[in-house]
Amino acid sequence: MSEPRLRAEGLACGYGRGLPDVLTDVDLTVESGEVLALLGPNGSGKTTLLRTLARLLPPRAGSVRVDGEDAWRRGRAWTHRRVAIALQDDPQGSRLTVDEVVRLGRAAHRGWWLPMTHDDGAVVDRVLERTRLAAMRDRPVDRLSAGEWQRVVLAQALAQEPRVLLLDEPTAHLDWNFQSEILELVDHLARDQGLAVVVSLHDLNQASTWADRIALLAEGRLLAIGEPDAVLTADILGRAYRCPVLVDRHPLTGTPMVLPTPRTRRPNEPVRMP
Amino acid sequence: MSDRNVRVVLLLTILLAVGVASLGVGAVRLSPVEIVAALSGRSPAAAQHETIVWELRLPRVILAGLVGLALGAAGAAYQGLFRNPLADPYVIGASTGSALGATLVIVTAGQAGGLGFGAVPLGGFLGAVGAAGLVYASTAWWGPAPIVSLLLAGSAVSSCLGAMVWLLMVLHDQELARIVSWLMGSLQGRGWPALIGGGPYIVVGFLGLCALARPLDALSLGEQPARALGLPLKPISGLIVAAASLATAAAVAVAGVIGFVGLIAPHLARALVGARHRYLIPASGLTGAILLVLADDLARTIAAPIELPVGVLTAILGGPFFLVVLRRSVR
Repeated sequence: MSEPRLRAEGLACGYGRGLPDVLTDVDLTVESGEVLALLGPNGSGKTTLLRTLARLLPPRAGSVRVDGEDAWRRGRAWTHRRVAIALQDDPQGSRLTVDEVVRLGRAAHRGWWLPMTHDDGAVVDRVLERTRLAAMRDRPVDRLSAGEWQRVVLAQALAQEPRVLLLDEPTAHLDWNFQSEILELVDHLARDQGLAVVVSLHDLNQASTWADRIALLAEGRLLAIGEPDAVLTADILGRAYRCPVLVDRHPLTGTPMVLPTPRTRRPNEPVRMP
Repeated sequence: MSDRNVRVVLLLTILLAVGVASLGVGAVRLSPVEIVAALSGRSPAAAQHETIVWELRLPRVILAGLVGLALGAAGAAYQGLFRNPLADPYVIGASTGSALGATLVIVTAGQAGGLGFGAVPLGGFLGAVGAAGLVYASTAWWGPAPIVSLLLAGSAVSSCLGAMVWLLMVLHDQELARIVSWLMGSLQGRGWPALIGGGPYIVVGFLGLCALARPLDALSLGEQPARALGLPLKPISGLIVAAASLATAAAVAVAGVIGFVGLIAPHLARALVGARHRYLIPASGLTGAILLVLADDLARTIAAPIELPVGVLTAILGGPFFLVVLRRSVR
């Protein structure tokens, strides 16, 4: 059997010397064309895990393998040609234009010294088209809305032409319509281009709708991993988030839908329509 | 040729024009025709013109241009590296560090004959790297460097190192006049030896910064995003500090401490060619060169027959600019 595109084995992650592990014993695989959603309460280690998978943070234990090869053994350049991560950071007041920021994604292939080639330009054009940024390519990134910047970050990661795409809360701070737009794009990338995608999300229902599988982090470990039906149960969620939830089904798609249940019931007020 | 390449070439043309015109500025005014005649060695007027142009003004104008180039390019690099519009060799203490290193060499080497080249730039280089590294480390230690922490770290390092310079001056009062006039920043009477001694370091530092343009672009988005693109953060940041400090140290070694050129030039250049460092570094260098050549013209003539130290002039003119940028950045 061939190796999965991305595999974490016995992974322990954490920051700084002397501080406890944020996560231990994480085992997961992601196949080509698959979207894995990363869920968990605040501070459960979603970003930490993504950073470790992206080779930005050395694992405390275990290994990260891309196509069967150890990312830390193969080195920085090798990994970044295969794995791209879109982080949450804001543009830091940079005055670079959209085009210039996306172009930097090509450094993974072209290196930091050689001039960009015609092929690099073609990749950038394609990616800008795909993320619907072509019309604003000459705009400075510090004048973009949050949603536009989110697309720029995604476009930059795509310009790396990765096989594995890691996304850290790509829908944070976005309006509903932009959230769906980003996730639709991610869905296309997995289906059409065979990317293996790991995406951390806050919204359980979004994960339920868009992910093939869900990994739920809590209590410093991988609490559950599997298809939405298997992970999004009242029992598992109650344990992870320490609050009672009601799990129902989406009337159109049949996927699980999670509703919070108030601990103290308020009397129902009739809804008045004007 | 792209639009921005044209603008860089335009800056170069302006610099050459300003440079040639500056050869005529001073106690003896020369017309463009006389300048060309003197330069070509066929001056009908007198051999005096040739001496003035070749021995006094040409090396001085070229030196002003090179020092401005170094400060402008280093300023752009520091602003990119620190992600801070207020960083420049003077503000972050690299100039003062360089001054301390160079002063140390001057007083320990004793009367090393004029400007003992070789050791003075080296001392200055170590001082500049030390100061910039210290500020960089302390802002990194505080987390993502907000503008205030950079200014505080810079001013703390600056005043500490500046005090050490004063200490050296008190301990070596026979060198006092020389050190003071040098600290104020001046291009007076440096001549060809300073140019030959300091020029190569400036050129190497400048070319190094040009080569580091893409890493600087990545760093302008933040350290983590730069690492996510596969940038080896520590070695590359080290190279940037080293190249910028080399240029700064050479500039300080030949001309003393000249403030604010490194702050102003990148802002003007950014308005002209945008933020991409491939264009910004050369454009900032050229703008710095133009500014300093003009400032030196002003320093030579404004209070004639007295010559003002050009560093004093740039500080007086640059201070208000600094406040404007600070207001816009802090918001």
